[in-house]
Amino acid sequence: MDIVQVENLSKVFDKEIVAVDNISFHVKEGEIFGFLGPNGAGKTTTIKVLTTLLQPTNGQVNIATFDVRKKPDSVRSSIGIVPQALTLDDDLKGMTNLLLSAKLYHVPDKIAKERADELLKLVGLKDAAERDVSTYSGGMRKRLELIIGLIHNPKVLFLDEPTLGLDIQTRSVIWDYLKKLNKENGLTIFITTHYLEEADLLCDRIAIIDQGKVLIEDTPSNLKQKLGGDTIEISVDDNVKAKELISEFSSVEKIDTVGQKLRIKTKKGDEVLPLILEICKANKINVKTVALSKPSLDEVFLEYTGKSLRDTGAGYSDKAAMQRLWKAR
Amino acid sequence: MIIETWVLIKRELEKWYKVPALIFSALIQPVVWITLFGNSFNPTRIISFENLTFSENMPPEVVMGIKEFFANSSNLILEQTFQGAPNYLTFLTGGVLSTLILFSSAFSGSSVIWDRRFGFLDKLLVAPIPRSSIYYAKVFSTVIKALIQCSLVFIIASLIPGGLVLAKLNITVVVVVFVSLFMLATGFACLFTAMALRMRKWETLIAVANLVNLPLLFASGALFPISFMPDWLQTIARVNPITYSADLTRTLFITGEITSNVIFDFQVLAGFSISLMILGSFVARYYGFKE
Repeated sequence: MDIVQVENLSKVFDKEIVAVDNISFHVKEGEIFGFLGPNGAGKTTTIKVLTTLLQPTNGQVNIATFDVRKKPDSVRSSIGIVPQALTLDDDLKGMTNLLLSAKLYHVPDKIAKERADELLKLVGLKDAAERDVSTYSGGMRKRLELIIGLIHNPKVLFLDEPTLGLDIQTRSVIWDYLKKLNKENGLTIFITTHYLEEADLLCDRIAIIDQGKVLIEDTPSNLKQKLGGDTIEISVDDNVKAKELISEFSSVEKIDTVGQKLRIKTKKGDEVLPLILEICKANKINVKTVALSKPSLDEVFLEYTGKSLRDTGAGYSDKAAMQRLWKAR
Repeated sequence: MIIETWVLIKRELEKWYKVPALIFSALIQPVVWITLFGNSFNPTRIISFENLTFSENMPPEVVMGIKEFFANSSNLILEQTFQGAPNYLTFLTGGVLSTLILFSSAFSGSSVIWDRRFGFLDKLLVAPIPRSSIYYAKVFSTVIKALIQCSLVFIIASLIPGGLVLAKLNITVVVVVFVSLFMLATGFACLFTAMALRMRKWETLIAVANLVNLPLLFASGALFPISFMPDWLQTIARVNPITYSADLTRTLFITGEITSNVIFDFQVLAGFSISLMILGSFVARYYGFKE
């Protein structure tokens, strides 16, 4: 069953700023779905529509079978949210924050207390539960935020850039929790991110969004495969002879001379590389350097959006993106 | 609706009583009004001219006569213009309690703005609760805080020398005074919280509060009888709810009786709070939490 159904969703601010432009996608129950895009691509706007914070301008959005327009309260009861900005009350204890949220979601007191203890243990905040949140570190806040989103046992958990600004250890800890929750409880997770490694590691499927449009939607490995496999770069002392020998291999798809080097495209880089080295040695060709690169989501991203996620700092100078970001607040 | 509102009120109160300094700092202002303003601007003392010095040439019986005249006129004014209050501070306390309500309600919206800034409001907006419960939680936590502060100011005013002297202390007086202060607080909190719902900046709220606080205070019967005022100011004071709350409170303090005036004041305050509650719920429902 598709637990999140988005059909032809558009969101326009002030009649002219198109933040989300006619997008459609589905998330299956029990999967981790990644929503990938540069800053200002429309990720946060989409998640705000999906979580009933914004009304769609056009299109149909159903979460756990409920229409976000007609049954916002039923949608709200079925979902958990870990927003991009922190939403904790600094002046209250961790436990109080957690139980307050439980009350707002109508979790009976006894069950709330049990779940709170269990969740605090899960994320290692048991000892800090009775302290004011103002004494927490960034990572602790995020972990608390995560379990607050889970206190009412939601069907879908929405995470908006959950690891933004966290160090790599805390990030991987959070990934582990998410994987565990997904595996053990079958929790459906919808995550937006602009960390490609995060999407690659966590997600069953991803959609790439840019300038309000979904460019492609598939599993990470399929997306990488579509790029045409691995690349081997090799520099030898006799390019011509080496090229002739290497092109004999059936699994080599393409071989080019790029500067002083040979660039070989193949589906099975791991297997071809030793064969190449062997044949060079047998023919007394001296191999100076060799490099094997696997396709990364970075390259996938580059392929579809025409820009690398790493240099999306440029996105900030884009006025429309700025306005979208601002409006989505 | 009521459960959710109560949960959120508890959150506000918990944040409040965890910082006793906040509670006491809010008491400083009314106590300053009573002890400093009440004593230095005490009109009955000013009129009595106790410290007049007379030329030595003046015959002593004339001096005596003048002093007696001023002393008598002071008592006369206290009796006729200050509703027969035993002293000015008794007259003033009713006004200060109403002022305290105005000042704390004026900032009632600030927590909405902070919650919006810190993202807590987003969490409330995605929770399956009626949105008006967010609004009413802000309103009634302000009302509860203001009434607790009023009780403390009431106690302090009774304790200071030359302060509040009650004609009668019975349950009716206490209940009627508290209900009317409750209504005044509800009206103002509904108004100011509704105004803050769409504000993005705290500075705007401070500007609005500062803009209305002192004019509302001076154009009311909180500090002096409105008969002291020129006609145009009296007209303004007569549409100011603080005038009615101050009048009701002090009449009960001074006479201890429910007069026809008290009943009229009570009706005005009831009308004020009910109409602003309706307006506020309308704003909260259709305007305050939209995109």
